[in-house]
Amino acid sequence: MALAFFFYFSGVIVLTSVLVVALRNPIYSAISLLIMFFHVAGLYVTLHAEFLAAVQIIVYAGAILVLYLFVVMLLNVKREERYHAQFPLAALLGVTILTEVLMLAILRGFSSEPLPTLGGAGQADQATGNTETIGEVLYSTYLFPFEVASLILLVAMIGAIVLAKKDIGLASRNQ
Amino acid sequence: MTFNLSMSGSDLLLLLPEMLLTVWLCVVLIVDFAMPRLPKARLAYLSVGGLAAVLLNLLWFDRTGVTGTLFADMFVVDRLAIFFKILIVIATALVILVSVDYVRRFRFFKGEYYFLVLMSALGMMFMASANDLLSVFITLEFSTFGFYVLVAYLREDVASNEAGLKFFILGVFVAGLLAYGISLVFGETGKLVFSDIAAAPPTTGLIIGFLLIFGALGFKIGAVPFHSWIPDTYHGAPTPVTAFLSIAPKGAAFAILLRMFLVSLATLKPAWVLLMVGVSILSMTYGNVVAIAQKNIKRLLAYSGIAQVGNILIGLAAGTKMGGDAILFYLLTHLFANLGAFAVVIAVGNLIRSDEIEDYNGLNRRSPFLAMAMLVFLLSLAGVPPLAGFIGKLYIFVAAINEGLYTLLVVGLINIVISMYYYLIVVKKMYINEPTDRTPLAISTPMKAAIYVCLAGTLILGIYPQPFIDWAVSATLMFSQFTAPAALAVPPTMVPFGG
Amino acid sequence: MTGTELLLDYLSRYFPVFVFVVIALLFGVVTLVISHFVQPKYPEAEKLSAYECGSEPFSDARMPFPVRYYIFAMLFVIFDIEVIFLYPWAVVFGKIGFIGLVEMLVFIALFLVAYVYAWRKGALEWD
Repeated sequence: MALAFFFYFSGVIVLTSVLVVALRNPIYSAISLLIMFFHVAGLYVTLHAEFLAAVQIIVYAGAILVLYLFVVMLLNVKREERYHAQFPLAALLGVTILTEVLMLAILRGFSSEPLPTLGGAGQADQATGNTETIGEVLYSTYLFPFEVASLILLVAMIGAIVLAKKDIGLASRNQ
Repeated sequence: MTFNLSMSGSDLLLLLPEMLLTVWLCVVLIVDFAMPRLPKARLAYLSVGGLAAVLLNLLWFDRTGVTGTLFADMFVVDRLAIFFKILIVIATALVILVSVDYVRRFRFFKGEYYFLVLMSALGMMFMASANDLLSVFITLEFSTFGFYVLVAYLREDVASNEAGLKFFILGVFVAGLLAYGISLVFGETGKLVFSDIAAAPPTTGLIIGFLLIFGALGFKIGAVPFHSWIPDTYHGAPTPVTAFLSIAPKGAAFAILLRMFLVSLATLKPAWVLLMVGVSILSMTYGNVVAIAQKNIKRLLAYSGIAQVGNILIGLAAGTKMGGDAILFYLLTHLFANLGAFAVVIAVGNLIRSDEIEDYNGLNRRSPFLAMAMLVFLLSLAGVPPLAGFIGKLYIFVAAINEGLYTLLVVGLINIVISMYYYLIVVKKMYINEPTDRTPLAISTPMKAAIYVCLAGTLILGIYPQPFIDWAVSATLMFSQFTAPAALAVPPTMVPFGG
Repeated sequence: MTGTELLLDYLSRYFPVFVFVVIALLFGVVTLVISHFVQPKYPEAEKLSAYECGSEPFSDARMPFPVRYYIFAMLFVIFDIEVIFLYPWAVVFGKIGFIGLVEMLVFIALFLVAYVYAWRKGALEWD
């Protein structure tokens, strides 16, 4: 049963990822990407990473994808043919890497050792959720990156306005 | 895991310089949009005033020996961090002074320029204090974000846009490498703090991880296999931004490199010395040889910067405390000489709207002050006594000799001769060639102030380096366990031909 | 409980989400299907032709978007990431108490500066 969930989510992820690069209409590619984002979120849920699942939906499906769609509409690309000529090269690279991964998996096997944990975040049991654990470490041990993130958002916002805004009409001038 | 956070007033004191700067840059931004009619030059003086306060605070920390760690060892305030912060703050203040005239060229968003410069400076101050891989990542990204915008600031200029795009795409690619490297190191050790990683056995994953992290930091300092962004970005960016880019991020990245290689990887030193020697030789030779062919002064300084980074890496190749001292001192000399040279380029560029070396013909006739300043800065970069660059190079070579790195010494000396050639070509054009246009060039007050500060720095560090060497030596005390006994016996100032 | 049972127990908590997704999908599909069957159909050549203000369409309906949309999308991403940080904070607010409030106030204060800036500079206005 657990495997069924895994195969459903990962199967759809693989399929939609292929569609993203194989479809010729960029809008369809973007929609495939959207479906992929949702299924990645589903995969995160089966891995008990609820917070990541929420981030996946709120940020990636909700915001980043809108950005992609706007770029497509901004440039008004109707059909993208340029890169489809590179298919043989891409296939060669893909097959090579796939063979390597398979060989590694067969020769070395997968390790069953538990991964190291970051300040107890890995021990999230089912009673306290994953989000709660992240909250506890993010606002204590990792307070520094958290506050720096705020500064990054500040500079990103002003940078975006400085680089993209056409003219700087001060709001007060229009009143 | 329960919530566990304790911070006292004395802990917050460690953050005082950064908090001061954060508040100040918000003030600069608010003043900019709240008083649209205020001349933008006032914002520059406001920013420099704030930086002066931060500098005083840092000097006070340095005098009283305030040290400590914060946020579960992620943020460290020690002599090394304070040294680099002082370096960054001085560089930022000088960059703002030399920007005042240049900012008039921007059509929009003149005030935000100062805000973004201060923001990058704040990011680099955090970088100097980063004591674990996670804060390395986030502070490095933070400081680079400001630069992405600053490099593309001339929005109507194709070269500036191209520079911004190249810098951005390569920069985010490198951020990916850095994140991947950090995840490998974390996966192998389960630790993030530099001193905790030191105990880990060298596994394949750990080595690949550290190589990736080194690649990302190599990109920041512009060492040779990772230098491809430098010439175009330096050329296209607004010149004050190029000046800023050519010193401050390099300083901050060297703070991280020193902590990483001399703390985390101290036990693996025999393994990485060869890597450092290789990168250093490549950077010096490539930078100097390619610089000869340059026709544009910004590109010339870009390639000379690559070569200078090769020189600085000699100190890291030595891998001793003395190597660390030499890096610190070299960066200090580089700060004044390099920023000074860029200041002259900006001053000339503002007046004749050209950065071609041809247009420096007969600069001496048009502005003896600028020509003389450029002469001093270029000679210092080349390493001519009695200027700062000479002591810096000497110090770093002595550190290499103590470790028996004679190959590096020979390559370094050959490179000094090569660099002398192209620096002197510029000097020849300024002093011997006839100018096409004889109108004298006038220099504004803030520009003059910045050039005077750089001149004073270059001369004082060259003629009376002792206090600064002592300062650098005391800043790297934390690395003293890596000092070879032989190096202890020969303090830098007692070297026969020393300062 | 075995691992599979644990996982199923855990996933069963997501059953409402699953129902929600199914209802959303059904709503779209059912609406289309019903309207396909109940709509009156009187096809005619003139009715099926493309129509644009009384004349034949002379250009493609898909025109390039103005760049303004893009600025809004970028600002939206930044605000969105802000929200992501608020989410775990709200979950653990009971535990972290006053210190947590101060931390978030610092975070929000910096963001507020950016917001007021964007507002005053007219970045949130259409032109």
